Amino acid sequence: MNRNDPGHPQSGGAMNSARSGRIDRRTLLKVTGSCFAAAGFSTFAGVTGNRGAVGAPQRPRNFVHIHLRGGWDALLGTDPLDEARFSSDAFDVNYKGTAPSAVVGKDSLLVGAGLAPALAAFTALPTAFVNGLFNEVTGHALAENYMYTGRQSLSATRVFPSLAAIVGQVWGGAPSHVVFGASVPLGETAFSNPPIMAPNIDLFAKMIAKPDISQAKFKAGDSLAAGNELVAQLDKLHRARLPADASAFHEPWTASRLALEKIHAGSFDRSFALTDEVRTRYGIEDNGSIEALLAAAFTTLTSRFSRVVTVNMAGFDTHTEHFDTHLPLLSRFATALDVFASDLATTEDPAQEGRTLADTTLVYITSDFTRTPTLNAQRGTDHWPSGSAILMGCGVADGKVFGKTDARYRPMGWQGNKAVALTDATRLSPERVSASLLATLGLAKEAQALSPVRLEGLFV
Amino acid sequence: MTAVTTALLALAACGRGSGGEEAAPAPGPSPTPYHERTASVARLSPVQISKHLARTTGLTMVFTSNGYSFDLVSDVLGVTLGGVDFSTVSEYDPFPKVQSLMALRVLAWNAAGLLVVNALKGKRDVFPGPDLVLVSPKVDRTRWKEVLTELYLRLYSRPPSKEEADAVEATFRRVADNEEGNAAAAWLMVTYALLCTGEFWNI
Repeated sequence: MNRNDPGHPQSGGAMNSARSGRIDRRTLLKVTGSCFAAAGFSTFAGVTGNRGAVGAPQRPRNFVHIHLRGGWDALLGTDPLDEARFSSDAFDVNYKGTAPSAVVGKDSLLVGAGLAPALAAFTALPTAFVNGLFNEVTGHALAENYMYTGRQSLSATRVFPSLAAIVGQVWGGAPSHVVFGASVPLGETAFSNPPIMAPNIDLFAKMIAKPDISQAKFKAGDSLAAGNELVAQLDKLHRARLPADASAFHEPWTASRLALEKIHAGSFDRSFALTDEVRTRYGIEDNGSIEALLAAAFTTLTSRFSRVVTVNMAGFDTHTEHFDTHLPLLSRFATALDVFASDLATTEDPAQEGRTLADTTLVYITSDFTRTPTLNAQRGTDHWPSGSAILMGCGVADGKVFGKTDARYRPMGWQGNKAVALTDATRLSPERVSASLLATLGLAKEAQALSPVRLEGLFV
Repeated sequence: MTAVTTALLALAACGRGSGGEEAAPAPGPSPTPYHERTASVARLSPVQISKHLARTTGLTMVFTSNGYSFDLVSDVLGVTLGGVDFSTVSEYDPFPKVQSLMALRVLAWNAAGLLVVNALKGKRDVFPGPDLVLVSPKVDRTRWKEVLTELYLRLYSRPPSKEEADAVEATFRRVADNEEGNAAAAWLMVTYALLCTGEFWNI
């Protein structure tokens, strides 16, 4: 793809409101952005209700897994104190200081103070919360891998692939999967379908750039193209001379070369160069920050670099001064998520004319586990054996909450879409959610291998 | 069909042989340190890539600190080129990925630049000297072919075929024309291309 292609983010085609019939993001920002930003309102305020789906629901064709490393506080997010638990002594008094906010038009979705900046995003995109996930492991590495992979493993040597890695492997493409932030468990996909990984957007852009010929002071850009064409010619001549077995060995070499040429020809590195407009909109100060990584995820989809993205963000393991550290961090994430979701809702999927990226993308947000509902001696919180998750976008049962924690914040069982007593048979495990997710992404075999039990109703 | 599937089918086809003959027995353990994928091809490990580059182009990416030697090709690009534990990775999936080629292209570009710049400075590694790196087929085609043959012998241990020499010459002329007749620029691009081929990275 080049910059003149309609789908290229720098062509303006992706935002072609005339063609898509949707509000143009630039127009939206021009009209509303500055005043909403000044007032501290969501960038979604002008978009809400404007996302009308086109045609029948489709299976997601993009998958974004966002993982907040360290364990997030669901009491400040998807599982805030409601009236029923307000008088319980199981919760620190600080949690009782703020009332939860309800998502407009989705009364079941109650949001704590940390995720409040993303309220409009939850209104605009189909959103479901999952609380009370049963998770007995509260060591970071084990719990993180559990949420990434949907499999609980206590083995130090057997690593299962993350859900995104599995999806990338089945969906294919080169690269089949992109990871921003820290590394993720890949299992055997590390060999068969490795992702392109980078801790920040700068390194990522450098990695996918052509060799830098600028220092050689070439006058014509055509010179590098001539060199690459020669490589293809020489490879072809070489293969013609080889015996059949050796020639066949070079097939994947050729496939990789073609994929690389496609990446170079698309000038994707330029797509990932953050413009001032993007920096301002996401509030990016550091190229490895939460905001930058989410902007990079959005660019990955609009540039069609890959359909599968993992973003992982560190810093949520706040064992000291919880409300002074965790709450601002979660709010920062929610603010960036609001912009990211706004971008999805107002940008046409470059591969699906007439559909926004919100119509075609499934976003899965997880963390290692939740945090203790009381403070420790350092006014921090520790690890709590439960989990929660957010699902947004294509295919998600809108406005639903699955799973529940009890009056003392312990996970309850979940059966027939109702909270029941916790037993081995009723517990709401990450396996159930992960298998449901893989099934809705079209990976029935992989879903079955993960768990025969699904979380009914999570997806429409 | 994914690239990996295609590759696996291709590899399976290798084992079956041609004309429906019975599958040839798999080659036994290699007596060499190379990872033989078929009877005719071996893929280089990151360490071997490093040595290969150093031997053929003079590009060494080894530095010493506190008495320890570090090889940047292996240490920094090792995973991309096939894994720290190359044997394990190679057994799981021997085929290069787009990431491997990204790394190899950058290495090729650096090595080609080093070769041409060294030649212009009068250092003798692959190119015998500055006069030769300035040779152009427009001026002295015979001498230019001799230089190309020398380059081929150093990089591939064989002279170029007629088709290869013609393809290289056409590219050389195209780049030289682009770059106002600058023969060094054309040699740089040609050397880069020769260092990017599958033949250079697989033996």
